[in-house]
Amino acid sequence: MDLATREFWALIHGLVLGGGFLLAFAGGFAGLYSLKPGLVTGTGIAERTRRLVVGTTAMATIAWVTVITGTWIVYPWYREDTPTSPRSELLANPDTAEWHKFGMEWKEHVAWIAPMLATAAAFVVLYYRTDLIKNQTARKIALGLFVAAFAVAVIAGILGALITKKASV
Amino acid sequence: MEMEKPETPTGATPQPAGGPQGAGGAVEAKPNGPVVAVMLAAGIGTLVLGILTTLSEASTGVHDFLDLSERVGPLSGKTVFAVIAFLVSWGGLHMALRDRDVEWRQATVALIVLVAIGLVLTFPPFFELFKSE
Repeated sequence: MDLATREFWALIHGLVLGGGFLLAFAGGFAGLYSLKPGLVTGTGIAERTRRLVVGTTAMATIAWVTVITGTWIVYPWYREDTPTSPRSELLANPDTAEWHKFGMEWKEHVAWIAPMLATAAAFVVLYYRTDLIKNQTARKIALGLFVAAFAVAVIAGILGALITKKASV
Repeated sequence: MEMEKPETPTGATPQPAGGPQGAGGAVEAKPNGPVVAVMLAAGIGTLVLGILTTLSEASTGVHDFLDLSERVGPLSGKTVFAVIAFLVSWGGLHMALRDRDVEWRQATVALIVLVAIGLVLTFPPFFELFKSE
């Protein structure tokens, strides 16, 4: 049972990094959502902050690595100027052409918004740290940035998975 | 965007930015400028990505200019310049706002507008309206 180089990188880009992104989002979201006075003790705030820093920083880092590997490693295989490249196969059939024209065209651009928003969310957490619980406006903004980063990544991820089912690298 | 001293914040936060809100006790307020800087930078990066995406579709000259890597195509230029815009604007805004408080509401509205425009400009049914023949 072997994985070709292209399969390996598609797996890293879509499944390993995608899975890590989901995991980091779940942890960060739960931590940010429940970071409210009255719900966390003084000791709990310090412990929660450490997890929040790790979760939000991990999500931002994973988002950057995902778009960089996707754009610079996997995407060139997708768009190769050969009749058997996924792009060529999708465009050759009128029934699948929209998967490239709409799906891939949107995915390849919208995905890059996620790391910028995730970085902003991580910075809010890193900047305020344990003071974040005392500044509920900043917490809500961090949460909004975090969820927005996740939402655009979900658009890219779902489109990527569906395109891969139609024509894989 | 209206700038204020840390002692006199306004907007959605009724207390000093970064100050206590329900936790009690006096806490040294951190200016929110650095956070607003990264928020706006993310919005600017998104907007630049959107503008370049639409311009690349509308102009073959821009399309070719953005073709930094033959393997990746114009997406290479769009993303490289968007990330540069994000980092440079973050650095510049951070320096400008690091000791200041900015209204949260205005900063949030600015971020939402920048990201919304950027999203529309990266949406294929929109940018294909400008497709050059």
